Amino acid sequence: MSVPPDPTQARSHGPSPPRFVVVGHPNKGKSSMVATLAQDDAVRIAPEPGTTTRADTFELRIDGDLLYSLIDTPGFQRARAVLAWLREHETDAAEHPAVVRRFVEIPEHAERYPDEVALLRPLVESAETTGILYVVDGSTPYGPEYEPEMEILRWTGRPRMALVNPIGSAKHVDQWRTALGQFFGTVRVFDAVDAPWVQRIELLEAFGQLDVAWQPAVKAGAQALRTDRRLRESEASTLIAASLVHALRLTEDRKLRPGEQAAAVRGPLESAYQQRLEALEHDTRDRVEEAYGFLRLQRHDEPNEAMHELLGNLFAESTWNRLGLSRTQLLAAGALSAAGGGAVLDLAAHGLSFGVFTAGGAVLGAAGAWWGGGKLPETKLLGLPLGGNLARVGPMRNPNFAFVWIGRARLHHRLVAQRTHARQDALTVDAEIPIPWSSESRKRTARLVSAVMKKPESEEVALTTTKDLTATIADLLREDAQADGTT
Amino acid sequence: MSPRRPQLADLLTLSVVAQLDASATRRRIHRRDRDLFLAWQRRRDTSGWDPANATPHRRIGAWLQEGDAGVYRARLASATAWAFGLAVMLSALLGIGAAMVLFRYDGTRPINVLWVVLVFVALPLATAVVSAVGMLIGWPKATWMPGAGAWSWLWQRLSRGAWASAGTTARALAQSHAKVLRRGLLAHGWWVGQCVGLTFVVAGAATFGILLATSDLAFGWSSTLDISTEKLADAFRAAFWFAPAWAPDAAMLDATVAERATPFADRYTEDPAAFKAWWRPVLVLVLAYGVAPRLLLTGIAGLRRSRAVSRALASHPAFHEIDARMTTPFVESADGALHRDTTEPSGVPVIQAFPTVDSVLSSDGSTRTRWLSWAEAPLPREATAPLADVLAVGGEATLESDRQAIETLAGERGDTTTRIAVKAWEPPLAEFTDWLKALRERIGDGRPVEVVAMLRGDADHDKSGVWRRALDRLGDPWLRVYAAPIETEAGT
Repeated sequence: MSVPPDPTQARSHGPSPPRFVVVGHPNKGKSSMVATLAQDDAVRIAPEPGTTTRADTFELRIDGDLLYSLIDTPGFQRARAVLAWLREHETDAAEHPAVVRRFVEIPEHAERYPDEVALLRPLVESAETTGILYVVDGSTPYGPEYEPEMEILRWTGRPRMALVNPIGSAKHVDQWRTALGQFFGTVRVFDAVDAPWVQRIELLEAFGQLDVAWQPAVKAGAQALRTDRRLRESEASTLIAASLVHALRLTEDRKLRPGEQAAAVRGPLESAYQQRLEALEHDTRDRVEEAYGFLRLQRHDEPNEAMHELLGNLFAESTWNRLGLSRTQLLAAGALSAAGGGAVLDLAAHGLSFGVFTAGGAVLGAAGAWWGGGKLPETKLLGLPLGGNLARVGPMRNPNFAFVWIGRARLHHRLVAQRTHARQDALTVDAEIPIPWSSESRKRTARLVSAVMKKPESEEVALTTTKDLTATIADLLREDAQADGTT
Repeated sequence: MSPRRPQLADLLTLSVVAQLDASATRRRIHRRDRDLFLAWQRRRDTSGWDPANATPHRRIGAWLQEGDAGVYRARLASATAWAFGLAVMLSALLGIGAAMVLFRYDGTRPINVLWVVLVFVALPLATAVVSAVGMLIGWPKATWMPGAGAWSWLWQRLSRGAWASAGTTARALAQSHAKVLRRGLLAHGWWVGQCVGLTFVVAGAATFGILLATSDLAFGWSSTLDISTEKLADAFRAAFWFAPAWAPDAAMLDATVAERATPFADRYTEDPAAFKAWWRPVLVLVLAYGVAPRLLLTGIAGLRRSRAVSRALASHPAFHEIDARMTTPFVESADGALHRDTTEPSGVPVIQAFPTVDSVLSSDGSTRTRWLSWAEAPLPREATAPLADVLAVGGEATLESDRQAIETLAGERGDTTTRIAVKAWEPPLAEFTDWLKALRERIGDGRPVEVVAMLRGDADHDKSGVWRRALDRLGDPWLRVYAAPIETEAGT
């Protein structure tokens, strides 16, 4: 089998990787745009203007090879003064980019116009591979104070696209379209905070319209992100399946001291069992979020009441033994050991005993194991008890538990998969949102879950079920993603 | 990198690493595996091996020799080799020991060939038949083996101190894909069993050969039971179906029967050649029924082991996961190195509510107010100045207009309040604060300057806080910030 063609091949023979410099007025969603497109929730986004004080580069790499960069820049702070300087030093229109370069290169400008120098520098360095993404807020009205900065961008001579980011409201989008159309060849509306995943990829592909030479790299990047998305989805299904099988097999045990009543420990045991289930769900959610690149996401986990109602009576009392062997295994071990001893005696008798010692040993050994196995909990070896009574909660016996568990995991996954990395609010998993189940998925899940519930101690069943459940959950997550437009 | 046959250590390593990988993030292990693949690709000209065109088996084979997997593989290969060596060595010692006992000859009694046949022919043949059936039916079943939990106490003890790494490996193995492992382990176990059985008879036969060459042996047979020599001869003839001429006949059996009543020395002197002649049929029997079937079974078990390990490897979930990670490009869209400080700026006062413009604009007429509009900001209705007196600064105004506005304000009475309307929904820019600083420098300390953030609605109220915090940072004690709703505008 050979490996499919590498999407970076198109780029490796093409021009240098394109750089998209995200510019605009302060506090209009430039960093949100970058956070969403770079899938990086560590990009600093704050209500205070001027949060971004330097140009930061966010690269899309495949196997370490750069496909394109997104550069987050500070906002324009003194656009009128800069434009005045540029006009003052203008010779002819063809020289505009050179004048901008001169402005950036004058050392004292870095002190006097630090924001403009920081945002214009990426535009004059490697200018031929640099495109401009100008971000405005579609929820606020257009004002003439934006014109100096748009004029400066025109002076750079670089291909430009305007992105109207409707922060909370699209009330003034049309007004912006009209105004921006005079300065930019392409104007698109893109909600950096709430855009569905498909739109994010479409926007990335649209960047290729700025320069036809950039299209292969941009397309390869979009394709790689699609593939990466499927991998993230697959990882999430594996995590959810593994957590469910773990939850189904989970038990909370306590060895009872001599004379201690099992009923006395029931309450604390049930509480500990519930806490472990909650911790398992919490951990699975953390890992699903991590799989989608959310490293700093705050989450409000709702109380898991639906699950608690399903727990029912899982309390039981049994015995434990230090060897960890079942009754049958103890029997076999006893018979074999004693038969081995008998065989030595038979050999010593040069076979004259006709295997009587071997056979007798096996019978005695088995009988001893049968009797001794029952007494094992009361036996002590070097002062250590070999067994005792055990109070246990779990494993799960309610088949509906699996549907609640998967339903909650699907809901959480949907919210995470839809979420952009620009969102700063905490993730709230609202259990009231209905999660659809097809009858086929329900049947398949029920069948798989019942196998684990029948043999919770079997590693083999657990592994097989995890594998099959992963495929089932992957199908469910894909259905959710198609319904939500996140794939 | 040359291809090699998959071994048990490969399968065990895959299970161990897959188990340890279960707690790692997908991106970390994807990067690890993909980096390995890319490193091979970079070296393909010198190594002569292109991973992109190789089979998954070959890629996984190479993966198992690199990094952590390589360390685990070396450890597991060493452990399995040691276990195999120990089993074979014990079997060889047993075979030599048995031969030394059975072929012991001190001249008082002949070596009883029935014992030799029993130990080096019948017993190996019987166990060979049992093992052949076992191999065919896939015995023992996994359910006979104690589960992972049974060994947990051992792993916990092993996980401490000097045995920590061995304990970790063993625990990971115990928890790993038991079903997949079982297939390979069982086939390997049968192969080891056949090797052990073969070693026993070969060691016995070799010892016999050495004793034949270095000692003067005499063979005979005896039994408490009244065995007919004819029947025994028939049995030998049947056993020598492939070379009937070598089968001991009834005459030879009669001549070499050892009876308690007759001293052996007397019998021996009657026909010494008959007692020596047994060595050939005994050796042929051992080779034909002890060594040959075992040799055949060892070969078959070896092939089955190789195939089973290879199949188990290919059906191991980690096999395809690792291969997919190696052959799928790794996408990086976020740069961890650029993660910046996310702490909020300190020292910014939090304003719960702003006084409305109504409360500050209800002047008694004795106070003069000069209104300015920054960047075409609308003015509040309460603004009492005629339109002509409103100064336009920022926005479309030129820098020169901004400077002239400062001069105009500087020329006004000392008790004049300067009120600047700004758009609350737009952030305060450095050019505005620069202008405010220039104004304060020109008009001097003491003159009140008020910035009125114009609100389009409640949503802008929060944004006016941004203005308050930004202007507070100027440290101008005569500068105030207020908010006013646009609905009250009376300007244009």
